[in-house]
Amino acid sequence: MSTSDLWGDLTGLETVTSPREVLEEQGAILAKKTHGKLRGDVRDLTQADTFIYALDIVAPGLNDYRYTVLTVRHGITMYPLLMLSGSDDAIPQARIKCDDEQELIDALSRVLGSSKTKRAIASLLAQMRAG
Amino acid sequence: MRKPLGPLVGALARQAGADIVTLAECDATVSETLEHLNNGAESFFFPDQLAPDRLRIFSRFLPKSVRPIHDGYGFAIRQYTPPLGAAFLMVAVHLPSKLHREEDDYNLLCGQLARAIEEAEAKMGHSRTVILGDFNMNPFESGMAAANGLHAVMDRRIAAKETRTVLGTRHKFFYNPMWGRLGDVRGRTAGTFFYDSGKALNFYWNMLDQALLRPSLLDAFDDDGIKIVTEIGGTNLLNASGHPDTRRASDHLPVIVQLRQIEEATA
Repeated sequence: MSTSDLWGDLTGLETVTSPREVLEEQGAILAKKTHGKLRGDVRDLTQADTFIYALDIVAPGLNDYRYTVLTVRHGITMYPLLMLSGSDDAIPQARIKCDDEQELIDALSRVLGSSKTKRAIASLLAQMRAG
Repeated sequence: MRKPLGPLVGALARQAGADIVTLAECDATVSETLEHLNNGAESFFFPDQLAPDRLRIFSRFLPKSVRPIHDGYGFAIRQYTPPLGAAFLMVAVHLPSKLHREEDDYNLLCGQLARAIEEAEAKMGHSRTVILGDFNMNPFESGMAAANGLHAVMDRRIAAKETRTVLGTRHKFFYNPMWGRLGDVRGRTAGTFFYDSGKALNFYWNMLDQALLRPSLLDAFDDDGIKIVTEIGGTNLLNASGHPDTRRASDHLPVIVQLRQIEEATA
């Protein structure tokens, strides 16, 4: 019947960065900071209507050994988002709820900069040197 | 402060002739545990340097025969290559406590774990995989049994079909022999962990510590190849009520999994 445009004005929609893109950016930064010795890899673990992404540290020098630093999961609206990571002194909550992109970045900063993540990175670099 | 369990761990490893020891929530340091494992041992255990904080893994495989594949939240995947027979994947698990989690969390965690295992199997080109550890779930919970979770069934014959398609997606089976250990018919206990919740639905005994096998390992696994340990070198791990004696040992009972040599032909 009707062929008129019922979508309304889509110009000027807010440009948002998806959580997956945020994770991928951090993955690329790790590769740059370690001169390719380690890289961050985002795995898509989406189940049904829940979008799930894992951020892994991959060590090419150790047969592509993987260490999952965290996973995030969200619905179609992206936020609120739930981040799951291993517990650590700096992150008493292994389950962090983020209500917007800034909270995601804050939570990522705490997890990626935690002593636990640094220990993992140091251990992988040391084992690659030893190997 | 928990009781130091190193001497019991070392004694059990010797008693069972263990090749691989995995520990969850171990307070002792790696070197302390190694000392007990290697005390009087004919061949030494080596520590797994990469294992996540919540897990400790020790094995008598030479480090060159152990390949770390993937560590994640509450799991570690390794490939072991024995001197004889085919290599296999071992997944050590310690999923988080139910205290702060919903059942949906477990379903998602198990789905993620299942995906990580399938990726490891694809990478290594075989499915000779055993998962063991503290799942903090019973065999009948959906994270353990559902197709989008670990898909672990109670019947070898069903597991031997290898896969099942649900809503257009193929899911691989695990066989879960712990189903057959639920209740007190086959042993001195009805599970590995006792908890009287006082709720209307109260299982009392829970089988939180489990071992699951892919169908390709079934030929290497006998029905009596899994044991819930209640005594180590004369030390009774149960109290007068028949529950795990937390003053003397752990609140979880140890589990021994025994596999025979794995034939090369099984994929």
